[in-house]
Amino acid sequence: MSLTPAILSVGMVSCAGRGLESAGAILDGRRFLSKLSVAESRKHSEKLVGEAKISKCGKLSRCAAMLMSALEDAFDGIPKCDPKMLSLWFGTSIGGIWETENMLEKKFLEGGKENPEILKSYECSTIAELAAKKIGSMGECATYSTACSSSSLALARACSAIETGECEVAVVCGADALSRITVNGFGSLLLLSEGVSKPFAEDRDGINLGEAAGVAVISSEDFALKRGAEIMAYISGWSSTCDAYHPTAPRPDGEDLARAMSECLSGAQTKLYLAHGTGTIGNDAAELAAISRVFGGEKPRTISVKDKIGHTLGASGIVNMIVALEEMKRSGESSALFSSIGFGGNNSCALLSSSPSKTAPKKIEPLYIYGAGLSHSEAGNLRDESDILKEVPPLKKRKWAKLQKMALEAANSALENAEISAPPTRIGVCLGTGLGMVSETAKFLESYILKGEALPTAFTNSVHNACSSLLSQQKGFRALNGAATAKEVSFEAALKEAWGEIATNRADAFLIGGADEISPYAERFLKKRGESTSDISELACVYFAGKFGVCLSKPLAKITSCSLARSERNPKDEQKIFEKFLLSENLSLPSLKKIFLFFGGERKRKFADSIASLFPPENVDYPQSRLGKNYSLSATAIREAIEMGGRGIFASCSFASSGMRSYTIFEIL
Amino acid sequence: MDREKFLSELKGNIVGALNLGGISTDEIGDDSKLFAEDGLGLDSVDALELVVMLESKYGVSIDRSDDAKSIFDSPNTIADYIISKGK
Repeated sequence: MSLTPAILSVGMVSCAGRGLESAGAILDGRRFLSKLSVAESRKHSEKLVGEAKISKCGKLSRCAAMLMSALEDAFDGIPKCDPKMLSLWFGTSIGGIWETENMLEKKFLEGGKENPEILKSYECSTIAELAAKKIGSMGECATYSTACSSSSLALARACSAIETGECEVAVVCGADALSRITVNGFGSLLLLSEGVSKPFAEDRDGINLGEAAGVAVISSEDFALKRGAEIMAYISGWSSTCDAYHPTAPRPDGEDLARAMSECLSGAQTKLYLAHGTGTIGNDAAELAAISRVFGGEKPRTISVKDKIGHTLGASGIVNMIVALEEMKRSGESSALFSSIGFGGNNSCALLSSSPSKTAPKKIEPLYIYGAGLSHSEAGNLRDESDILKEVPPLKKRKWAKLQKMALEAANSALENAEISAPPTRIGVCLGTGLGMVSETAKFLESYILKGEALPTAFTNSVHNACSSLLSQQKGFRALNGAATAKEVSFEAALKEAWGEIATNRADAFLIGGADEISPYAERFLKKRGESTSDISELACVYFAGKFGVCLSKPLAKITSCSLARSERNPKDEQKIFEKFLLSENLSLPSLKKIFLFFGGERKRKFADSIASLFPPENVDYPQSRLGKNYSLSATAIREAIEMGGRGIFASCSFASSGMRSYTIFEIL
Repeated sequence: MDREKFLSELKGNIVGALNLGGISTDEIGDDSKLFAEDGLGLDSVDALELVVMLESKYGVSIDRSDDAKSIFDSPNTIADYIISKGK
């Protein structure tokens, strides 16, 4: 039996056109950059960017339109499979923000009314949901937003999920569209090239931005053979690490990037490398250092696509993979390594191979929790920012936004008595967030739109992984650094990502949690659903969890199972699914000491109530009534159970407004 | 405007731009090495925030080719630069 991930079909949209043909044009050396026209910029309107030709988007955001085109091209490659075993992972740094910006501009400058529909496009996970519905996926659907490494991390999760048998077919997507925030944000960091970027050249002067969408349909080798699906190539290695060094600059000696590259190669050789190669002084230097470390004198042929189509941010990982595929075909090379490097110090690499390697299934062992921390405040009773992390000198924490401070405060609690026995290179951070630090994004856009000022720190803090990167930097944790967004199951999406890394032996432990803030924009999302906003909260809840024995201290709890999938349409049908799930875990209804229920909006409350009806009322808890609404609220269930005292088996169920739902079983020890 | 007042105002703008709320402008010497570890310990992103501040408060821009680090060495060097641009 071999569960080696295999690529069945791909789709791609960029300024170079569509599909493998466009990958070929890029490899021919053709350049597709042109003067910026789709995004407004006072200072950078003369800069060269890679603008995709998108025919009318209709109701879709620019980013969604590109993705749906790429998906269309890859669609026929999706083999028949149980919809519950068909999953989708999406990497993006800013999702549909172009439309949000247009709406904000109208609001601020022309006094126009805010269109709540457009605010919806701000949530990156909306685009993943669209794609998942299109392909009929009932399995896991999550969005990872870790800046330029986003789609590479989506690919890593997909490959791990295939190895553990969590899914049979994975559709991996990446997309990012040009926008005011990225053009002016990168501009404020002085990272834009004055002309065409020159990756790895001595006189390089920065990046050209671009936009693209890429899709890859992946299944295990066995599944592909069973279905008679044609295999384009195998993914024989993947590895994600974190520099834990600086919010935007990479570690100059490229040590953690080299580590990711070496882990992918695992002793093998390759003659072909699709580089991140952005053309900035810092990034290229770090990447060259890493290439030297790994290959020594036998450097591979190195290709960068970013001077042909621009830096496509969240899509760059999947774009690199597709171009690597095409180059393997053209040149006859039997393998290709490719990398993505992102803000926050993420390095994510993968190795393509023309020949299979036998991969045995990986078992998912229980996850042990060694510490838990919560930082919380409610609307109408918000904690003062200066109250958080009082022990840290003001000079040190001045660049940390409130949510970052709350996440660090919670992480500190979780690590308080942990006697960790694993090295920092085997410990990662995965945080879920429904909206990320939307207040920083808003700060950047408002300052830009009203005053023409592009604020560098607000820009670097507006990436969804700003919280998880800060934790990595402060704790020195250098395994995968992730930020998952999936509305009310964001925590569970982060949990699955971390657990997949541990199950496939890429890491031993993680800080896992959820964090969401109260901001005027968050309040507006809720109002749009007709929800009252007086009872919302902001919180960060973080656990230190990993393999048994990763801490010398006694574990507080263990998570035995987490099922993240699409809910049935009918509460009664979903209730049956839940009962089946308990059976599959060798549990009966009376086994559970308590059940925690979470839901996003009144329509989803019915699902929660339907599950609740299976239990005596004294065993049912809806934490929202005590802690307030928050996209990351479901993260608190385990801690609530720990605080209760005494042993027992618990369940936590969350029904997201997107239609996704999670069932988590854990035991307090 | 007299130099002392100009410097005091400039330091206020630095504190504001870099969110140095815990520091009073009196604590920043005119020759304080802003980027030194034993000075204010600012980093490269702070330098970029100062670029934005210079433009918005003083209408002075910094070309990419200029050495931002030497301009931002201390409050005095920043003041000299602003004055040299005729502002």
